[in-house]
Amino acid sequence: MKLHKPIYKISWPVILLVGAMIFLQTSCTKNFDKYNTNPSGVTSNLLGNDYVGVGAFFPQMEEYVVRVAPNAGDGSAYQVVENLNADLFSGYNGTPTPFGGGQNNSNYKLNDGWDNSAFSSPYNGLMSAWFQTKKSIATSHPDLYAMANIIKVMGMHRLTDIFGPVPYSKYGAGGFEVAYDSQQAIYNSFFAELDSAITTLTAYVTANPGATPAVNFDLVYKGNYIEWIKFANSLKLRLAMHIVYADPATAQKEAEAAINNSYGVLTTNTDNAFVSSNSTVTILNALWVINGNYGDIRAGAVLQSFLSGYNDPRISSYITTSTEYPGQYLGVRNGIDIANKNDRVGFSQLNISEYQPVHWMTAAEVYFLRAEGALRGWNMGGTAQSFYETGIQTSFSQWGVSGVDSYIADATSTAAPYVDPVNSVNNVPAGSSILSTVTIHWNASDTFETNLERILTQKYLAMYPDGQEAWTEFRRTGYPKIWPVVVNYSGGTIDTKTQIRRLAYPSSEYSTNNAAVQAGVGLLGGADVGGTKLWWDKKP
Amino acid sequence: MKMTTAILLVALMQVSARGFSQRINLDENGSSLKKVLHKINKQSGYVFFYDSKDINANVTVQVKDASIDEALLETLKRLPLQYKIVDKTIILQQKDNGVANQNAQLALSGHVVDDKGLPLPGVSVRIKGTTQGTVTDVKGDYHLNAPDGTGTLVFSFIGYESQEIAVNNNSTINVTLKEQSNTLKEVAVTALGIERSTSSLTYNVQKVDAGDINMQKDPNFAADLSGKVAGATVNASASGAGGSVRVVLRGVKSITQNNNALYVVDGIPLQDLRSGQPSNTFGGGDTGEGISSINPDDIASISVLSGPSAAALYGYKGANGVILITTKKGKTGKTSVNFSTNMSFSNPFVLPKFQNTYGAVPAAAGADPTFSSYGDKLSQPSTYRPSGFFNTGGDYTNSLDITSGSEKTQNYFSAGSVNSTGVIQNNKYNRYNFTDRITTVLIPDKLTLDASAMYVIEQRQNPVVQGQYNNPLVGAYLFPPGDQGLYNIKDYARYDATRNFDVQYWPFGDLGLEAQNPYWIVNREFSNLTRNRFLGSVSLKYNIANGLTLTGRAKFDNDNDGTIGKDYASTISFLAGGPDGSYSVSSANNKTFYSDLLLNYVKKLNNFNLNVTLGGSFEDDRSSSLSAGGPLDVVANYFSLSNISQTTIGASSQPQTVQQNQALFGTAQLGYKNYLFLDVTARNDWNSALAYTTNTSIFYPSVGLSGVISEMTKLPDFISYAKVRGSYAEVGNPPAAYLSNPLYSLSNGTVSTISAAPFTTLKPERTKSIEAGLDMRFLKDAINFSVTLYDSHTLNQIFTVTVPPATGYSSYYINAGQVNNKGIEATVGYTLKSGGFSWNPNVVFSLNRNKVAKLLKNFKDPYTGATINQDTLVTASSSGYQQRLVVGGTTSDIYVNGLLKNANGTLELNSNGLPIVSQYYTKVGSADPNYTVGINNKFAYKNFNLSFLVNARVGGTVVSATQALLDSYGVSQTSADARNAGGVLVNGTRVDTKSYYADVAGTAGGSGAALALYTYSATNVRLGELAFGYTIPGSVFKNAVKSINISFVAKNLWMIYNKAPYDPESTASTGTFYQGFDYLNQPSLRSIGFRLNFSL
Repeated sequence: MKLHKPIYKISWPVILLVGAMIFLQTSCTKNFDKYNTNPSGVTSNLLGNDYVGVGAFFPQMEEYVVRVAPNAGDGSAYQVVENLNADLFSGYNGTPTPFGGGQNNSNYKLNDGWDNSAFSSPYNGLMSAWFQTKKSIATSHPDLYAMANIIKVMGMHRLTDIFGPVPYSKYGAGGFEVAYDSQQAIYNSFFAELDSAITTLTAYVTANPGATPAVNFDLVYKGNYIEWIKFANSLKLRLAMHIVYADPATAQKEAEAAINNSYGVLTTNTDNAFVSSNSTVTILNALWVINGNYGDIRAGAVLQSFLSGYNDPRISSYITTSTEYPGQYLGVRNGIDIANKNDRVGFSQLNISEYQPVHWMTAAEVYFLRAEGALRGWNMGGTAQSFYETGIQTSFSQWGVSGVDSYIADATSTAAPYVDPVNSVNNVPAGSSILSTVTIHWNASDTFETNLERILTQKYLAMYPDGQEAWTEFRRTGYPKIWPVVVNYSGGTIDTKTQIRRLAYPSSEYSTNNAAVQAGVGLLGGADVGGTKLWWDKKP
Repeated sequence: MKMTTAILLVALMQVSARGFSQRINLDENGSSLKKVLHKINKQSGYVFFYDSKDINANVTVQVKDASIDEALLETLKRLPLQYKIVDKTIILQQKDNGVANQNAQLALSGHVVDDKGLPLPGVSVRIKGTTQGTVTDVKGDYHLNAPDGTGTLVFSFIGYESQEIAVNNNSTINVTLKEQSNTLKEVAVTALGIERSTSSLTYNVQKVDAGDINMQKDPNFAADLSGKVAGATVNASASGAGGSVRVVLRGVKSITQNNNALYVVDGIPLQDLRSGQPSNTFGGGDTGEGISSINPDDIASISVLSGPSAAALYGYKGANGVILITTKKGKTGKTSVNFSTNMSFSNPFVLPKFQNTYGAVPAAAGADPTFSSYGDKLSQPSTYRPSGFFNTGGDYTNSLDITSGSEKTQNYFSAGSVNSTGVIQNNKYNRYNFTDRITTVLIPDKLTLDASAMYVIEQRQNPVVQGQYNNPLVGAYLFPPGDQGLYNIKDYARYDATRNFDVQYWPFGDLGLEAQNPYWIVNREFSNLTRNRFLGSVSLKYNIANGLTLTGRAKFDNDNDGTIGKDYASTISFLAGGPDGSYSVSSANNKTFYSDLLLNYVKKLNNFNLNVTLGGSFEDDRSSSLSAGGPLDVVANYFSLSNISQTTIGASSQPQTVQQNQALFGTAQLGYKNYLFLDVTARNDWNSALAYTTNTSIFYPSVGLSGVISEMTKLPDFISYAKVRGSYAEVGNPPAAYLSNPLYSLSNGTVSTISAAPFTTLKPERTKSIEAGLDMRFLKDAINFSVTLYDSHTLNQIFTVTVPPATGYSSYYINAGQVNNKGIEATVGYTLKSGGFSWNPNVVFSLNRNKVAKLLKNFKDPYTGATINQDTLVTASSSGYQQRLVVGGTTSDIYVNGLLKNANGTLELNSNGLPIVSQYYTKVGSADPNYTVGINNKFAYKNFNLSFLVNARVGGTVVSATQALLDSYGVSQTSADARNAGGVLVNGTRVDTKSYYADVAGTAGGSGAALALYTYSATNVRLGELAFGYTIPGSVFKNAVKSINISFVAKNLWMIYNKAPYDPESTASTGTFYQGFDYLNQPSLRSIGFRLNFSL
């Protein structure tokens, strides 16, 4: 014991020190919650201020339906999700860039990374924001939830129209696998969800006339629920028309219900559904980035052929003249061999501005949908011809272009032949079987198919630049006549003549959700390749 | 004798700096002699040297105003002691028999210095075979009377090799004592800066000679560790001067956390500061790391603690091993000045082989020229050489240090500069270091202060990138041979009348690679990074009582980084964001505050030695940054934030991180008879990153045992030393900050959802490691051998798994999985000395076997309760190349696409008779070496010295997408050889070369390529370092200088064996993944230069 005494004595300050440290330890770790809260992040608590959290996720939802550019240098999301598939397949755009060494989606060598972006983008951005909104406000704000559901259907129909069966009803359950739904089931759900949303919003506007609770965060209608009801009806009409060859009875029923709703459908250009900036969010059009900064996109040859051939006054609003061939409108044909970007980068560009609102749906499109319904003998509230002509007029006024009367009266003009000055193998000469011969002027005595082609062709010109919907309508009806690819690197999985019908599921689904995607392929009813037709793709 | 010198040193420290009187007053009654001597010392300023066993006496002495002689005579009058005064030093010795001293006939004197030329006080100088001798004074001088001119003098001093020199009638004998490297008393610096006898270590600690590191002068000295540390895998970044270095000790352990070694400077962890590393083929470079700020000339010694046992006391940051750096400090004695200057020149070491016999495919009429070199054979070989794009790089290093000190206070000051120019034009790196370190005794015997400050300015210009964006190598490598006189692209900017200024001249388009004129890229796209960094540290050590010390340390490391990026107008819009150029600025601040308090107690009890340290540490890491920029808006080439559209100016992110760690720890070591040692440590961390989880504290223990067999029992004579050791340790590693508390982000008015699911049950990762080792020396320490076997398991890996997006999240954080590493690290060295010649070969061997033991096994899905098994995780992915973790494989496995084969082994062919590239990834190997060997040889003969290092790496796989790109464009020698042979053999038939490579070589970044064809063995052997020097002794300059050393130094002089088209040791990323992949990496460098060192 004696030996320890000196140590014992000296240890007192030490014990105090260690004791102090332990005390400090326990008191200092109290701040750990604060330290581990990222000051760059927004907490749920903060979102409670001014009830910002109620609508906080609506901008993300709306920005992901059709991807916008997050900044002036970044159009890549839209590029891989929308542009390098539907915008090319629809003939609206062509690319001068030899992506993937010249073999890519444009000539049917499907890029798995792009497919993956197209597949996951609506889930990661749209559905996650919808889900967050549902969790926080579904019961407290049924009106906002109804609006969220409309936006969800708007975004997700684009997804299923690309791939076919996709996970839908089981979204957000967590876990490691999510089951796929058949496209038919998804469409049935769309109709039901739209009906429910229309009912909820109708009740709300009746009870609260003029109220706009979503005014601060709705980038489409600034919280105007009546417009949302019209939009929901119009969307229902669009979806009904999609399934007309697969389930004609449902199609007619839903289409007529949409028209007969008390608030009706989009009828004027002020009803158009566009995403645009508000006081807090700046919406940049990604097409502007891809066209300008990237130089990766040019006017499509098919679009340019129609616009030129019809002497369409909208041409200068849609595209510019070539810089390399001054004064000439010259599109890039899709599905060709490209050696060097410089070869065609000087062709016609898109005439698009930085802040051009992002296109969802227009009144003009709705008139053409009604024209087709009328042509099919449905009760659309008018004749096919009247809707057809109103559709063209509405489109002209949307773009602020004159000369609509003589345009509608033109019974002779047809799509123009195409000459690729770089490589004549891409030419589409006059008289070619792939070149459309349909004229503009309505002729009731023409066959159903001719008039259908006429409606779809004019709808195509009016819906620009909605490549996704244009590609869907081409697959559904075969109109307008979009030229097949010149070279086909699909390895036989996509038929050049029938053209691409869908995108293949991305490999990421096979690696992370294998059993479910395999079952999804079963629901698709064909091989998981670009040539397999979707459920609604049934036109004989 | 050993005891004597040890005590002498203690006596030295008792010197007081107070004013002295030459008159001494003593009034002692039975006081201990030691106390009396101390009083004399205080009053007179004279220093005492004595043997402690001589002064165990009590004396009674009373003197007033006595002279030093009077006082000493009175004090020692009854004792068997005599004294001698040399300058201000009093040496106490046992009284001689009085004979030899009186018969003295020859007065000997001399000067003793260490191998750095510094005077050595307290060295015992004795005449062999007698008890007669003396010790050197503070200046290292001695005076001794010898009986005649025939005897032999023995010079000995603890920690130094004894020397015997025949007197041979010389009256002046000067001696340089060499520091002993292989003695039982060798001391190693271990965790927390605690010095320990190497015998007592229960784990492997390796010393690296700072001289070896300093000879080569890589701006980042970590690159020079290659081949010198067993257990280390060292890969320098391919990003030019000042880039970071990947140093992984004992294998990759963590899937998502940092795996680089921790650098600890003077006991305190340093910030990593590694920039974001490239992870795809588009681009991205490296902008250095924390350790690259350090001036290598400030380093006194380096110890490497390669395993968790050694590093356990550093907590989670030490989980990957620690490189301990001890910096220089001032020394008592004459001021010494050291100046060295290095100048070296560099050029690319390994380049792909290019062809120059086939020209470009002619362009169609009116079309722009093409960039495919599958044209006709040229009438005469082209003179264009891609290698001509590179300049000769240069490194100029100057370093000055001044050491000075009194007994009380020592100071070390250094200033260093590095000016490097890369082999790519306008790639520059400058560094300016200023360091001052002061050590002082505040209260004699009690309190010492050690304070240092370091200020560093680093400037980087255009750190070289890999990948295809903004990389001049795209254009330089792919430029077609042949007559391109029309397109003199060196004239990169030409007047454009439509824009009214000079714009980029590049008539070839972006090639789908975003290619630009390489000369434009290096002259009109700038990235300038400036780092201002201050490191200050203070350490106070208080001797509470004999054997008990308290040390408090604090270090502050504050780093400010600024970056300016400029792309001139007509830089490709895709990269600049617009046609008018772009501008960006960012500033970042990273700071760490570290403090700890250590209480150390040392006690010797009979045969037992106890050494206990208790302590606590506090560490706070914070970083924040701000950036703004975008495409220029109104005026082209006006680089100002005011010229950027306010909607695109960015600044949407303002990342900040805070992570705080508090720890309590203790270590105890019990030694028995200096040959058996038990070592126990325990540490508990509280880490802020564990907030919002169920457990915020991490405890980890370690235990070790070592025994010096050679001291326990009699071993055969040829074994001079043998020690066995074993240890077990656990180290915890918390998740990254904020992982447990995901928040929404807000950008451009849009609140974003959370994409990675939060898991509040996250646990820290844990590494459990066991190691055993053997240290032996043979033939009187001429041969030394050390081997360590280790096995570590890292459990509870935190990683992200990608889940189907329809789950509601894109990924989950998972706490599962296990990575194992086991291996051998060994060193063998030999020392031969004969006359003026010495040879010192040293072999360093490292072998590591890494294994992914499990990923998700029976993992319970927190949502559905389902049991999940997953055995694959993709950790790096770019077109055609992936690194994947697959259970049973390694963490560095490389997966690429191959060619489809038929059942009979022949290639499957498509309708054009060409092979078909598989869409599925197959494993081609691991980027890890099987083993590495570094063979270092040092020769010295008189004033010449020669050293060289041969580095060998055996095994491993690398992939070169560069080669694939060169083949697809027809610029590679391979493609010319194939054309000369009439095509490529496919299933025995020759097919057209161009079609073949269009089919298998893919495009950008290996996209669509069968990269399996571009997979190479990473085995390589090189002459890594060579140095040849001559030291001109100071005597040549009449001792106006101490010495001058002139050396020729060379690095990567000769690649002896390498089958890859690039240097497999250089890496794009110094992070954990994206290894073994080359896509337009800057080549590694060969450098040759000179070094001149003056010591004053």
